[in-house]
Amino acid sequence: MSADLPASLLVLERGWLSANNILLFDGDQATLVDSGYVTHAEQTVDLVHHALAGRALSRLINTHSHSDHIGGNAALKAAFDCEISVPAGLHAVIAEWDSDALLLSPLGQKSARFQHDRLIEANDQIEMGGLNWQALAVPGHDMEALAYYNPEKRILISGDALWENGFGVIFPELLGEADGLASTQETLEMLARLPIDIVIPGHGKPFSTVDVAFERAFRRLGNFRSNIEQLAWHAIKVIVSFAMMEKRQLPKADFAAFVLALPFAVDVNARFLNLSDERLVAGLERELLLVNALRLNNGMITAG
Amino acid sequence: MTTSPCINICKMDARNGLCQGCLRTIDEITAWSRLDDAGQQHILAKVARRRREQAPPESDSRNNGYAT
Repeated sequence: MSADLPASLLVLERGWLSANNILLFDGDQATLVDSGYVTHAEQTVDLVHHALAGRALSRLINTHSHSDHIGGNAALKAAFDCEISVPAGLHAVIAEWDSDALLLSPLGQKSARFQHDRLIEANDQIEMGGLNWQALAVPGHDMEALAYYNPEKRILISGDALWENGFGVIFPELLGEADGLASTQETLEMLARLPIDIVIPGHGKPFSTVDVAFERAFRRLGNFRSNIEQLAWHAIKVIVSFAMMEKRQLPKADFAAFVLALPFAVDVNARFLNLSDERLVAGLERELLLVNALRLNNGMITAG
Repeated sequence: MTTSPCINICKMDARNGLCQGCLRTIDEITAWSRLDDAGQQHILAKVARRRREQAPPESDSRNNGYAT
């Protein structure tokens, strides 16, 4: 059974290359939270158009500025002329389209440039879907990220701060920009104190097994805190998987060059793991095949 | 718990109205998260039938990788 959400909310559950898109209906108007990856933008527009069923999309808001959450912003703006709101801390990087700060260049990802119309500050209140939502600062995966919480129905739109099985890669820690591990700890502790019945995560289905999710998240974070190499290796695997999801398929012989062309994979390996290129590539190939994130058929490697 | 059939291709095929990756219609993808297990299984059964009916084009090796 899926988690029981109010009829004024509709989760467009996407995969992992695109974050989920959450529609909240208010009469003949609607708000969308997050817009997916740029290469899926056309389908995102189709899905939103279908779900709107004649309503107007008046607002689009983002939880944070990673490519899998903002990639459809430009296309949705063009299709629906919606007002775009982003977390206030991201004003400059989006306005200037800083492809390093947006992690587009280091992760080898694409997006489509857009301009936001408004900013959302932590602790702002937003009416969506007939409910009042509080913007919560959830630094960690992204230091400027916001989650949206409705105390009445006890629903959390968590972005990548909390999933059913973990949370998004703690990039700031690996990029040496901020204490991402400590921030993630504080964020999880803050969220764990809230009464929450349903989490709508950035990826995966909405879930109500909230206690189990927090247990997993704290355990995973504990492992990362006691062994930063684990975080580094996890992050490299995630980024290579993501890049392969976009690429879809390549000859096995080209996999090494593909991995070594991802600046983040090479830099994080150099800073934290120091594996030779051969061991890095072989380890990735072995472990990603093992969990079916990649498949090997007739000399071709395909994203699982 | 039913796992979504999305495989991150997420592009509609104008010829048949199905996603090229998961072979669901726009309506089926939109409705997915509101369906119970039985409803989701019903869609998966339809997807499996469509996949059998769609003979993979011989020239397109991409289809061989995940035709299960």
